[in-house]
Amino acid sequence: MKTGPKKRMYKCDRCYNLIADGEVPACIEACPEDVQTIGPRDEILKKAHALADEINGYIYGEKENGGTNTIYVSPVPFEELNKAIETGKGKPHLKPVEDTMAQANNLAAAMLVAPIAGIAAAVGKFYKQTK
Amino acid sequence: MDNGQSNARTISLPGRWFYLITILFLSLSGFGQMPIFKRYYIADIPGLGWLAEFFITHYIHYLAAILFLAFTAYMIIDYLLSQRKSRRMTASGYVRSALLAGILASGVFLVIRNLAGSHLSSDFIIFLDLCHLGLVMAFLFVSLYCFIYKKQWTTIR
Repeated sequence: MKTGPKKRMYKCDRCYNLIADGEVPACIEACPEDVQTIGPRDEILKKAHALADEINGYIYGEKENGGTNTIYVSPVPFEELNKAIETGKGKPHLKPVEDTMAQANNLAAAMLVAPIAGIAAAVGKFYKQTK
Repeated sequence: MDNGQSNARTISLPGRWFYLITILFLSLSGFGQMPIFKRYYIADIPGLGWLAEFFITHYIHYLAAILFLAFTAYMIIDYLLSQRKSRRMTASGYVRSALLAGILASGVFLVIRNLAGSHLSSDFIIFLDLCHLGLVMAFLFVSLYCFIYKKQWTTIR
């Protein structure tokens, strides 16, 4: 967290300036329980699965909302955790989340087809005219 | 320079309306993504509340982009196959084509940026955003000029 002279709070950027220097974010360095790791998503996912297998645990964030960039591993199922926490404004839940971009991704696929449809229509018109 | 005074057009009247309405919705939904309509209370005007809904403007932008891509491909191929012999592009036609090509190219990259697992550098994404917005502003002003001075895309050879 950075606070400026105007007492403004900024969104966490995972201390990208420290990461650029090959260091780890301040929260990871400060954590007494050493519960966090940071790295490329595929490596972190591998570690998460290894840890989940080891402790017979559960993973959150791999599939939720199409896959998030924070992956949680817990020995307690997340639906149980979700029941135990207070949710509301500024207090996120741990329920399953649909991929909010799934429909947009379908539309993106349609964008590939659209120019082909346009070309086909123009060629069709041309052949009708030349007949 | 050509004044494009000919009444014969490259495109049918329904085609013109299709183009205008697609561009209207692309512009509205595109500016809605910035997002400016809630901030400046335009979304408070009855009937315009949807302009402040992120996913609504996002889907409309994608849907209108699909129609616009199909329309653009149709116009290019139709011009090359059926109209190139009898008509040629005007200077303003070339300017508008170039601006639209830039808008489409940056738009395609922005769609790729939105796909899960895409890795574009943040500097490149900022460049794309500014490019897309800047070219759209230029295109709208050029279109306004062409509308006022009745400049056509093509003219008879």
